Amino acid sequence: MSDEIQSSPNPGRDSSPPIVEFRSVSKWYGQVIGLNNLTLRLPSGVTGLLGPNGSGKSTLLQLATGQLRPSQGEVRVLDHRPWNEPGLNRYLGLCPEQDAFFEWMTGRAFLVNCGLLAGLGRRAAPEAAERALEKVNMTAAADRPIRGYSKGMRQRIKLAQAIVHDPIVLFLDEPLTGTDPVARRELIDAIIDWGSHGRTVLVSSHVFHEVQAVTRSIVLLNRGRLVAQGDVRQIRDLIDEHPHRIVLKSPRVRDLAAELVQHDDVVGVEFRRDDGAIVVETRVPDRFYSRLVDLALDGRTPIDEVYSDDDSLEAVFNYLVPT
Amino acid sequence: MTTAPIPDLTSPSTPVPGTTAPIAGAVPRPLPLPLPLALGLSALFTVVKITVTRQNRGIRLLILAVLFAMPILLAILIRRYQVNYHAPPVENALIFGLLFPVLVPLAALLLASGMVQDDIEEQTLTYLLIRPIRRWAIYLAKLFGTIVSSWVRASIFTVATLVAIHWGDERLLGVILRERAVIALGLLALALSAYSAMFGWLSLWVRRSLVVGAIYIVIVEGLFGSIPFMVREATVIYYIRVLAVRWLDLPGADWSIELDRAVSASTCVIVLASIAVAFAALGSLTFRTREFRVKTPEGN
Repeated sequence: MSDEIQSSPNPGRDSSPPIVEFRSVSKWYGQVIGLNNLTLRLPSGVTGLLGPNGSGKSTLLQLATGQLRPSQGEVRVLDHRPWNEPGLNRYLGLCPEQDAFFEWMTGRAFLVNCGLLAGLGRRAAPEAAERALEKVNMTAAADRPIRGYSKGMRQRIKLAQAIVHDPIVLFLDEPLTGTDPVARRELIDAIIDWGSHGRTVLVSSHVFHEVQAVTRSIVLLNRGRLVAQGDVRQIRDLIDEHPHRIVLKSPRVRDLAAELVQHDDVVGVEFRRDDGAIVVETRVPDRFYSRLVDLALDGRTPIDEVYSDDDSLEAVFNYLVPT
Repeated sequence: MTTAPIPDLTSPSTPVPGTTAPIAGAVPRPLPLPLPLALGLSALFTVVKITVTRQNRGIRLLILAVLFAMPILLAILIRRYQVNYHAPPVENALIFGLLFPVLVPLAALLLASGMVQDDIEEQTLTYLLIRPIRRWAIYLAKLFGTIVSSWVRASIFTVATLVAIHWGDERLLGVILRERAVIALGLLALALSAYSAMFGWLSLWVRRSLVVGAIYIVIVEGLFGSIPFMVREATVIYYIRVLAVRWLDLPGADWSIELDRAVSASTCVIVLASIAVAFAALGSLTFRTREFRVKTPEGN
């Protein structure tokens, strides 16, 4: 199955020289393997990096941004080795997965400082910060301390720091995690817009439908290995055979559950006792996700947080990688 | 500013790096792209600024303020209750018996051990490592920020202690603040540079650097530094005491320092500066080659 998918990678983009290239790269953390003999070539455009938790996505991004040194093999980005080549970072942007900031700063100060760190001058950095704030729709909240931001605002400001210096290659590690449906839509639009201007964007996620929303070109990782690389349509057929589990947090979960079960594509709703969230099972995730935006906007059933409880993806990976 | 211009990929007339599928008829630009030197002054100053700001926040600031307030409080109490109060021995005891051998290394340990570790624990180191700044320069900027931060703080409390000791003395605004205080601040700079460089390097190698550093302060600086034998020449405090005796006319007998047999002042300065430079170089080399893996929420 995986061979079939690999046989048609990146339709229409095969002739491009790679912007990001991994040549037989392995990365060990002591006895634990993070990446296992990975060979990968990514041309310009938006590519989705898909894999369940622990599949090596973050390791791949940390290797590509020069934070980690490969144990074996060679990583090249824009034809440079990223490890100990800080000049390359002038062209790269990273939105890291961890929800960490210099909490005492305001959003604007954080971006100005990131611009200065990226090599922009004292006059250019505030202007670049302003542009980045507009890009992620955070201008109104820019002068509030980050520690008071909601999860969605923190994700936006994290994305803004990645683009503040106008990079050529953008690495986004789970950029949509924990965002509300409206923020999710806006961030997806921002990523698509960024990729449509000739940049290279690599978006990691463990949620298939997040990746599908931004690109048709995907790379599948599991347990540190490349499972498949190719067009999104070939993998979605496999994934849609398995019920997709989505976790929703809302101050009115029972009303939300009652609203959701009216739709045919919802095959189950489960109430979680530990955090008061509900887990919804659907066989048509596209329709479900598009409906969430309307639900969040109409105000009757507010939604604070959405994320995929993606055991279904793990099942597909197990199918793709025979043991 | 040493930065290479970023190609405008949105302009039809600008080549798109690394692609053979040009945008709007652009001519492809060959890879690899030229890389900047990655030593921009604004970037390095920003690292210093972030380091100083971080170190002047939270519980650490409170602990240091309480520690450094002790000599001031003691000076006030001694003045209040001592019959026939005489300032010089009090200055000797509080500044050179408490502040320099105990509080200064403790302050350096508290700040230097956290200058990288705090960024690791709070997962903010990523924001520095993904920038076009050489890693050794990031470390040196953080160390510089730490030394400046600790020196300013220690200087304020040292001057305040001197004022508390000599309050009412007609020489306070003259020889005490203009000469003795200035020399004391110079000694603080030397001591804090040496200690901060040592403890900064230590924190890159030892997980419990606060504990190991505290043991070092007690045993090496406290015990060995007071033994009138060659071993004390391997401590920072010995050179600080020799300088204090030479420059401030303190009684060397208190520390068994005989000026005609002790090392010269210039040797003391060179040794202390060399300790600072050597450990700063070791720390920056370690920081340059070390992988700082960020544990992500997925915990791979």
